[in-house]
Amino acid sequence: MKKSRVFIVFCETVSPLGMNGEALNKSLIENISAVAPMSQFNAEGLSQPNACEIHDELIGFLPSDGIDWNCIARYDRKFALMAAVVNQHHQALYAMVSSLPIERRGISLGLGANVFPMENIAMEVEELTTLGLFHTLHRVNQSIHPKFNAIFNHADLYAKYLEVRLGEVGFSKNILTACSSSTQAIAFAASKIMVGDADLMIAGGTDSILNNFAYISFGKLGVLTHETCKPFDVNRNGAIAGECAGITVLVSEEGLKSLGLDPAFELIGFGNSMDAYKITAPDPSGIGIEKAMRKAINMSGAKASDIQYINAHGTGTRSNDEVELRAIERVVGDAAPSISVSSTKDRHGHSIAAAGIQEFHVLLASMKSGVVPANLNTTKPLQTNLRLPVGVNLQHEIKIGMTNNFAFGGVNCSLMVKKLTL
Amino acid sequence: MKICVTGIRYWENEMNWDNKLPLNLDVLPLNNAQTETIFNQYTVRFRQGQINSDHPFYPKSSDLKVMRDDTIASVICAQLLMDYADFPDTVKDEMCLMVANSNFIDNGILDFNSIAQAISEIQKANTAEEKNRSLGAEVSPLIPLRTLTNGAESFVAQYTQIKGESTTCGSTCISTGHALDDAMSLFKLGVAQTAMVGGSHFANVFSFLNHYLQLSDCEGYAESTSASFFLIETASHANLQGREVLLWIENLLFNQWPASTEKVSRVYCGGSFTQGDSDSLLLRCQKEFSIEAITLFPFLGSLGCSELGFLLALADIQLEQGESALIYMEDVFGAFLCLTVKKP
Repeated sequence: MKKSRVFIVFCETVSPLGMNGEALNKSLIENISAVAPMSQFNAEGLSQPNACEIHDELIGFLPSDGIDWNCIARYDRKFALMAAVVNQHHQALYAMVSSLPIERRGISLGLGANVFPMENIAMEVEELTTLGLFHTLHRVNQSIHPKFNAIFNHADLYAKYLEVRLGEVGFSKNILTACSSSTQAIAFAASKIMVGDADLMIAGGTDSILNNFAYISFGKLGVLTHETCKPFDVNRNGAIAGECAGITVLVSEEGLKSLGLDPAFELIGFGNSMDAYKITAPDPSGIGIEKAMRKAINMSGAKASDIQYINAHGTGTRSNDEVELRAIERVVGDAAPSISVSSTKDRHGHSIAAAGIQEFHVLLASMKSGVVPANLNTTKPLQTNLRLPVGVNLQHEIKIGMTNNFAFGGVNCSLMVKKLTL
Repeated sequence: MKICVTGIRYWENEMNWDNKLPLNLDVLPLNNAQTETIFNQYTVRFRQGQINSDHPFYPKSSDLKVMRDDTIASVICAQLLMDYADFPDTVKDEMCLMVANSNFIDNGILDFNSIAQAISEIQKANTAEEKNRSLGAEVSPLIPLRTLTNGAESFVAQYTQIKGESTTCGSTCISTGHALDDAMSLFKLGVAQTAMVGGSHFANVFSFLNHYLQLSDCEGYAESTSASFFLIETASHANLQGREVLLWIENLLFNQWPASTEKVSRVYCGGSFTQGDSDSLLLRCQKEFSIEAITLFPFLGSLGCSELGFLLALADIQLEQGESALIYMEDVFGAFLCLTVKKP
């Protein structure tokens, strides 16, 4: 079948690098890093004292419509982050969504695991028994609208909120593949347009592991650094925890006509693969990563040598970076010296399920400005013939870019974007 | 493009691995579903998994510490299906694995006694350092892995060596429909020709807490830890492999009714968590389609994301040659899917 083209008409995030695209772009160009001592909870005594946080007050972004959104936001930071994106760009988003029929629009979100708000419950519980705990949870939940269960929420909470704010959609789905969640959410949103099932897809995701319960468990798992995140450095020793929420709007050619917009970017390909190796580590051969990138390139119709920048997954962990770098080298072959590769997780941290939308936004910002963000903290880079900017940003045109994300359990996803000439 | 179902495997505690759903559902035993009262007010039936560890496809002990019961069931189901399919590595390298899942908190994590203990430590702590230290003692590094939302997907891939396009959809029962829909989109794009689609469901107090506010009445709440997987292939791929077609997939719609249900011989419905909801769902279906609808709820309780596989299995068993069925599933938020299948 002839696949429909997929145009990117909107992308915004709230991230540790800024509350919107303009702020994000400025941070990237000025090499601002959001890494700082944790402030959302007191991390005294923990071996990972730093994080990349959003310091802006989020409560002001919630609508006043009779539902106690504040209560949900208090228990679920991921929700507060998503609400901040929607509220800041409500007018533009609403105008786009409402221009197309309900059955031709959909939602695809990438999300993470539930977080039990231990500290909030500790403050509210009246009787420290099983029944007392249940009554506390019941009381909190009943104070909210019954369809928006704050503590034991379904992943559907976020899509339902988008529908409340932006209008009903024909279908909505959640992708739950950890660090590749929102990358895959964008990929599968694109597939719905490519096969002609939708004309407009709202895609993205939200996540934050900046609560003491999640932070401590990830820390004990050994994936967080006790100093600074150094992607592709010989001496890298872990990721920095982050948080993010973001939305991109993808439309078909028909959708584009209805909206009357001139898009700056086209999503030209995606590729997914499984390592089928083990749950705790990526396949050291990197075959799965390589396959996801090759699939994206094949779908795009472009050549590997056409890519000018790859925003890598680059977590700064021992297990990821070298495997990813070698996989990229194999995919691009002789074109390696002309292809820039960097990870921006050293600036905005690893926002887990929202890493995909965070880095998709970074890729679009880089393609727009022609600024390739450097690996900021890397001092002793892994040996490679790829162009791996260290310390200083590169400046060159990016006509075709790629972004990679890989998850625990070996779920790999790559997206390819083309800059359109207006 | 014609797409068909070529294999189905499913597991629930009441059924042995090799058993099929019976033609007469009344023979399904209900007596093993223990009734319990939780939080002094809700009478529920949770049918927990009791999986025989002697099964040849039972996971390795080193993996069990980060697997929930529904993941174990998924791994066994998926291996049984792949054993039946007997695909060469070249097919497994490119086939899709689309999984749906809903509940990622098992009883070990949602242990209210441990939570009470952790909260007590937080309340007693005088300093942040003390609090972090005591929480650190309670929090296992395995938690991120045990609650990994793509745990079933990744373990199924590991044990079956499926390496193509893959994802996990969540979180309500119709998510398996989205997983199927994603696989069908990839077929249409020419990215793949065969996929394993399925889901699993973990029944416990967390699942109840997840649903109780959405339900009008919790009386008769029942659910089963379960898993189901089915193979779909393009007609040309199935033909090439010489595989028997169990069902043709005619149509899959979300939140839309099919244009006509005149030719449908049977209606299967799912998505209920209580007897009351199940009864009203049956009545609604009967009114909408003018055919008596069939649900598995009275026999197995809610099956969450694994229910679609069970309903496909029922259609496979009950439909006569050339007959069609509509599978209607509705989630707790009112979103629904309509899947039309036809027996060759």
